[in-house]
Amino acid sequence: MLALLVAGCSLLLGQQPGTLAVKAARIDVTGAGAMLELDLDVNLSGPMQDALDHGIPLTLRVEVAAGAWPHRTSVARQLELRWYPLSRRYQLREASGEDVRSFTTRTYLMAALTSLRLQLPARFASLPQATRLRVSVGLDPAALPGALRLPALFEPAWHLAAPDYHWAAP
Amino acid sequence: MTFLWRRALPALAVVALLLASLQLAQDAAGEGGRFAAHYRWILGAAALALVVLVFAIGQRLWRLRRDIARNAPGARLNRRLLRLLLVLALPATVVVYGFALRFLDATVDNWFNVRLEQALDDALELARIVVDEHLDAAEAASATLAARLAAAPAGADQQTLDEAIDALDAIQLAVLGSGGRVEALASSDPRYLHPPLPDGALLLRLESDGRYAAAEPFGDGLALRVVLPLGRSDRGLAPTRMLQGIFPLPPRLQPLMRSIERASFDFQRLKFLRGSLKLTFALILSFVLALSLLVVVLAAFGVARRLVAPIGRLAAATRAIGAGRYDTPLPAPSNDELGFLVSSFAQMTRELERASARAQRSAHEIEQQRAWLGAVLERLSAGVLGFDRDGLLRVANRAAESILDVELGGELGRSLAELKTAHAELAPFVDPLARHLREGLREWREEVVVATTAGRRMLMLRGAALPAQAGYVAVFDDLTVLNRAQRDAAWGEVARRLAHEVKNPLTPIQLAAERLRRRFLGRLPEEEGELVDRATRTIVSQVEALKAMVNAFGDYARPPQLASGAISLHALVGEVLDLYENDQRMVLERHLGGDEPRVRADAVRLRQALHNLLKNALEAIGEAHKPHIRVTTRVVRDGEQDWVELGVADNGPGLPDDFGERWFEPWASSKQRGTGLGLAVVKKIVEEHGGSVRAGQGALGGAEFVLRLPLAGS
Repeated sequence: MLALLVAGCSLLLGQQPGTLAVKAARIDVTGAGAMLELDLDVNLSGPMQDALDHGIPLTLRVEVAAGAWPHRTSVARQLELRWYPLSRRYQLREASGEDVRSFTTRTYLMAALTSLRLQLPARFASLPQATRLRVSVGLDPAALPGALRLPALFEPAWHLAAPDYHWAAP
Repeated sequence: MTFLWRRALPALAVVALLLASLQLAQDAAGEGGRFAAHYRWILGAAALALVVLVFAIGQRLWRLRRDIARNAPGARLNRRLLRLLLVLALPATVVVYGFALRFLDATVDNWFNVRLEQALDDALELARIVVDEHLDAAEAASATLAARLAAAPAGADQQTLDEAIDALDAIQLAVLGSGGRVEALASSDPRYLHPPLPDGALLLRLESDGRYAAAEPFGDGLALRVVLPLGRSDRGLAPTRMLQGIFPLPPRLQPLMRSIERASFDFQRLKFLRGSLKLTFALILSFVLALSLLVVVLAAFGVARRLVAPIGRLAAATRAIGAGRYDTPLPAPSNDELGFLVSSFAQMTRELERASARAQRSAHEIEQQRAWLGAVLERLSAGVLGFDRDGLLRVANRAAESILDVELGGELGRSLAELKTAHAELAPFVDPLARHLREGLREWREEVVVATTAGRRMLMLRGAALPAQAGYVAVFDDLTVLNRAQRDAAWGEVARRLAHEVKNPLTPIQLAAERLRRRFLGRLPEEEGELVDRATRTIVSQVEALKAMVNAFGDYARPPQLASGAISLHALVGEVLDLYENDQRMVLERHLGGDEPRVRADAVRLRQALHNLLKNALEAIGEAHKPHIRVTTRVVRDGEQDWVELGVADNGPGLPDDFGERWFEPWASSKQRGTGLGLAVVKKIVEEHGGSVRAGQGALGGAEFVLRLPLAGS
């Protein structure tokens, strides 16, 4: 029993986790409201890529927060990455919107993450100048299939989160 | 607080583990995900619950060990039951766990049989072929349209698209310029007014192949997307204008395609999740196993405690009853064999309590009887000695000590031989007693003579064996005292008869002698007259002497009629001594000690006793030398009684060698003259006052007589 435990631990420690980083972020105020422009550098781990190719959707949770307490405001968006076997295409979909993009290869899918545009609520369009903004991006383990959630807690390969990115509103 | 630690917390921990296990199992089966974001908390709570259960079990183990160490009732039985329950429950739980793991592994593997996977792959491939066929048709139609657009004059693109969209049964047709600019657009579905722009991959494909045709997700379903360059397109160069057409699959095919794709999709997903599913269920099963084990251990503790508690309380009650505490509460009897045992035990306790009460009453009665017997024995004038069956002395009353003149309190537990060794003077008493005890006679009697420090004593010794061979008892009376009492009574009777029979004729004799003297003394010749004179004088004087003697006997025989009152002894002694004070022929010395001792006495009788003692002293001294008499008083305490002793000492010849009790009897006198009643009267008077008289050698060289009288109010 102990040997199994030790073997399991060594296997877990041997896994290479994926990487995720926010390279740039800014809010673009347009006539339709505010758009979050994100430049993500995403490198999925092997198990994640494998899961994606086997039809497991991966959901990235993007949380944008502005200001400080008690005037803090925040919003969360979810980006779903998915593989469709019949059309042999990857799909990038924002869960709350109708923006769906499909890609023939995973490389294009990853490349699409470098130039994301996410619709934000109108309150983000009227932020005072120099308001501190923060964006955090990470894999949402709650969106994983139930059977994967528990192992995802322990396996480093399933840990994917970017350090918080801060900037000030222009 | 105790309830929280012992009951509530373990129960809460069990519930938490159960809920966590159920939630994890539900999530793993893909039936929910409400708590997916709280997995860390759920697992933390489960771990905490495990810790609480382990702590609760550890606490119970520690308490059991402590109970065993201090030999608490039922603790060992509790341990044995606990072991038994664990031995019964734990292997079964572990076996079930092992089988469940194996069953889970086999079941999950069985989901993915090869034929099913192949069928799904074939279905997917078939769907792709169908899609490709429709894609070819769409591409051909798009190529025809692209040729028309190329041939059409500038500005007629929109019209061409509007005419073609219904003919081609397309969802959307669009002419895209450089940079993704939409130059013309026709849509049969108002939902799709914005054409999807070609991405880098598409453009790359277009550059390389000169065409792009693929099935793509579109809206809720799958659509066919065809992109063709408008005009001449050189390979390797991006076209400036493009025709993009979105064509639907036939409606009959849409759900079939979706179903095939979903089935293949689900299968592949499940196949990928197989390992995770096994791991998740194994973790959940391990949780359940841990929960089961801990609950089994806790339940074993509870069951063992419940089973053993009445037995433990019975054991405690047994100890308490053994110590004589019958009011120890017993557990409430249940409706089983244990209840029957409790009821029987309670009945036995009641019987024991009653028996104990009876025994206590008997012991109390025996103690009372012993005290009563002791009081009786102490007040018996006869001496009583009790021996056990081994011949050891067990009882001796005060009369026995008084008669034998030895202290017997320290001799209890000794044999007759040891008693004889310690008191050799008692050999004449011990020897016949030992002989009769050896002979084992039922009853016997014998007269023995014992020489004690108080003189020779004649004892009537009687013995009897006690019933049931419990021992022997010896009773002896001091015949010396009895004889003296009998002699005193006889002398009283003699004195009374003398007073009555002798005194009455004396007066007529005296009168007759005086009449003879008056009638014949002057008439008879001188010689005869002298004879008559001497004879009548002799008769009269002897009659007077006889009268005096008869009066003395009368005093001795007179029944005690005391006129008692509290008097000062020193005053009475002073009155009497004053009468002798002026007599120059003697020396009278008085030493009166104490603070005016008062006695309750008849002053006349007491004065007579003192006169008798003084007279006795003077007669004892005689005319040999000048009489010297010392009168002393002193207060003494003997036991609980205060006494005053009045001593009269002289310088006479002292007591004769054979002086004893006999010298206090009438007619006992060493003097030529006297009635011999002096000391007898003194003794009688003193005893009438509750006192005693003793004689001994005095400080003046002669005898000393000491009267002991009880102090008034003592």
